[in-house]
Amino acid sequence: MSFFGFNTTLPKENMFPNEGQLEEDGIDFEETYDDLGNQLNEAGDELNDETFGVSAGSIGRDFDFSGTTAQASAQLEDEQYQINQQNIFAKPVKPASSELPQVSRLNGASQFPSREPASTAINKLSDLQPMASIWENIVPEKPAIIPPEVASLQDRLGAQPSEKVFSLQELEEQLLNSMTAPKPPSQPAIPIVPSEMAAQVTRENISSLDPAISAASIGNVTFGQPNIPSTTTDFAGLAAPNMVHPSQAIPNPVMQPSLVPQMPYPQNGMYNPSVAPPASLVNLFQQEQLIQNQNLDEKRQKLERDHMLMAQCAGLMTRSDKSFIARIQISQLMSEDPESDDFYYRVYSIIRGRKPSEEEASHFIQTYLGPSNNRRRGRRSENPMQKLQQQLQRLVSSAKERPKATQLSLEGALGKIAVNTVRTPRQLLNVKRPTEPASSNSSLNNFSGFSTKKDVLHAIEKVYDLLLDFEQALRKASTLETTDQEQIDTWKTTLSEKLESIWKALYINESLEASSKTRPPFISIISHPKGMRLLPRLFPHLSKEQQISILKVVVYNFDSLDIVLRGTFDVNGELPLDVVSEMSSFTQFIIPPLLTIVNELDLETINNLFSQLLNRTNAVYLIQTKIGLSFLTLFISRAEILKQSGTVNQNEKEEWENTFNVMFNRVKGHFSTVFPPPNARAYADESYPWEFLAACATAASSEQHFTLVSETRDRVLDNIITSKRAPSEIAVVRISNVNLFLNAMGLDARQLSA
Amino acid sequence: MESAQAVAEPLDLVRLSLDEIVYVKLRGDRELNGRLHAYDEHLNMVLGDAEEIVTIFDDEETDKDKALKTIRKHYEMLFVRGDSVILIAPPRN
Repeated sequence: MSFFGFNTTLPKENMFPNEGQLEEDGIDFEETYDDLGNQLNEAGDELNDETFGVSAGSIGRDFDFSGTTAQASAQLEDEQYQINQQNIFAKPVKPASSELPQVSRLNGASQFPSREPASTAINKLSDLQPMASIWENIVPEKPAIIPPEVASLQDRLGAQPSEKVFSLQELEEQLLNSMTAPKPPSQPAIPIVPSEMAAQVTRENISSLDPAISAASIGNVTFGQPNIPSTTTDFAGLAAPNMVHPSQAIPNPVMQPSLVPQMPYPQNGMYNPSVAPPASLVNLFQQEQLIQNQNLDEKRQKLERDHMLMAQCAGLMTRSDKSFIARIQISQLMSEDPESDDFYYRVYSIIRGRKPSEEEASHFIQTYLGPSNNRRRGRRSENPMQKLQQQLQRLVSSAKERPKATQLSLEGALGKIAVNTVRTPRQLLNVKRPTEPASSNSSLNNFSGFSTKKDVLHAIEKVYDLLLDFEQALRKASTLETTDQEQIDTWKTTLSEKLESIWKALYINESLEASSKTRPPFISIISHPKGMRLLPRLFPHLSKEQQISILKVVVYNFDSLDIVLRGTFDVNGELPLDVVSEMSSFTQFIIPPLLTIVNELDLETINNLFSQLLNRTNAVYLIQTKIGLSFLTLFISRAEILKQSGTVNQNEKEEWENTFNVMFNRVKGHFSTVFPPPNARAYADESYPWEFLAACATAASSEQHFTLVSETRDRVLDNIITSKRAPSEIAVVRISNVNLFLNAMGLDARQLSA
Repeated sequence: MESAQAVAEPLDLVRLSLDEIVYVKLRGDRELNGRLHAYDEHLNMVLGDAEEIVTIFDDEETDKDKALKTIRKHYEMLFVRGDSVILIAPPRN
């Protein structure tokens, strides 16, 4: 027998169709209804007393849940109050947005009694939430004050809202009364602020106000005056904090002063301190403590929040994940060929006088892994840097061993997977270049001179290619192991091979043959400024014979040089602009390296070169060009230095004097043309003609001196006279130029002017 | 024979003009004359001692001779972004 008289023995298959039926026909609700309701036995109520203990008839329909809950809530609040009193200063207030719907539901009078226990339950729940601490510094903890408005209202109402429940009508009535009626005399313990002002405070400073305050006011409002329009509407629009301190929820002004500091909150200017009663020492102390705690809390909370933010992604990667990523990153950064990959950095370091190879690895680790890595590892391993370096070396070597496939095809995959690295980016085009070395060799062999300017330019670019290649091979010296002799030997062979190909590309031998009337290829190359720039770069690597060969080519084909051919001043005392720039490049790039070889030559070679120069060129023309004069000066001064050093034998000395006399006799009568024409003002104070004259004066005999002086007399005197009128810095230059020449003959400018 | 090997791709021709004066025509009616110091595959270029000639057509000007104006600017060193380059040529004399 059942309590309700159901026939529990009803066959199940009658209630639900069997499964097969269900599948086939779906559920037919007409069939499933089996008139069970008709079979209900409504009798048997006589046992209800035994079952429920109370007669069902005595239970009314006016359920007063609120009254009972109010009683229960009072107890709960007492408990909560005691708990909160322990925690009130240590634990910050936790607002929760879940309060909002309850505020908005205020109009339903039947609902608000159930609110209080619910909110306490939420309070307890929120107390358990550790995450809530991140909100703490947004709404900092502040001393809880009951807004005077609320307190006074409650006083005026003279009600204990937790115990008495008002009907909606009652509430409205009281509200109206409180707003229209004159205010009751001020309470001794609580500062009375005009209610409009307080309302303003709550509205304006709601964000800065203690959530506890607003919560308390809400609590009170919801309890006592659900229809205060000015405050509730404002609160409803805001995320009102949930926490209701029981101390505030029970608006007992007599209890308040000892619990909560009565001092108006100092930052809240709307509360006039002069109105506030003097606080007790206890309150002051509590407040100080509060502020201290508050500061400490804020710091701690900020720290916690930072940790929290960082911790959000913590632990997502395992150790091996991290090291995998790190390895990928490092292997991308570590270069197998730092000499070319980090070219500019390396050259810069060399210029700055650092040795990049020394600092390389450790510097690299510091740069890319940072000091934190070092520090963290430092605790575990004794030499973390070394350990990491070893790891890097292993990585690099393993990367070297593995053949670098740029494509990878997986089984079942459609298409191929490109494996790109920072060094080998995805290749978009695959153009096959013609194999150059074989063809260029053949072209070198049957070389027949440059026919066009483009050929010359191409030749220059080829030399640059080879030179860069050679220089890179040269830099590899730093990565070589000095102990491995075999390695060094192969390196040296490659170097000499590369140098040999450069030499071939310069066509020096072809230029020396000079059989044809065509312009020698090397002269063509060095007639371009970029070709000239090759020479100082290349020169130190060449052998002495090769250097002399280059000098010979230049000297033998001197009149083929553009700057000599077109290097004379025109009637206006001007030079073509391109010749001027070319000349300066020549003096900057070609003459210094040639000067170094000339200064190492013996007199025999000088004689040879000098006579060749005279034979192949028109000396009278030559002395009118700057470059020609410079070369003549170069040889004469070298010969004179050798002659005066006394290390040369008599034959060579005599031969030199003969050669010089040939030159002197040829240019005799033209010595005045060594100077730029008088209208070439820009070149008037250049020293090269005076240097030439000085060199000639050193080499010349006394009769030749007479010729020199008589031919250049006008210019010398002119310089001396004009220097007296010219500004001092120009005068100094002019006098020193003249003195270059005069001193070589044992004279001085001062003697002439006297 | 030699020159055939010299030009494997169009940019090789540009390479021959390195350190030479080149004429560059740019979008937006701009022209440049300058010494080519460097270039890359995008035709980004560094020009030295460059002169820029900007041609402006003034459509409010009724006189046809005055409608076209040229502005000349001089730069010691100039970086030219390649996407505006129309052509590179040896200088027009």
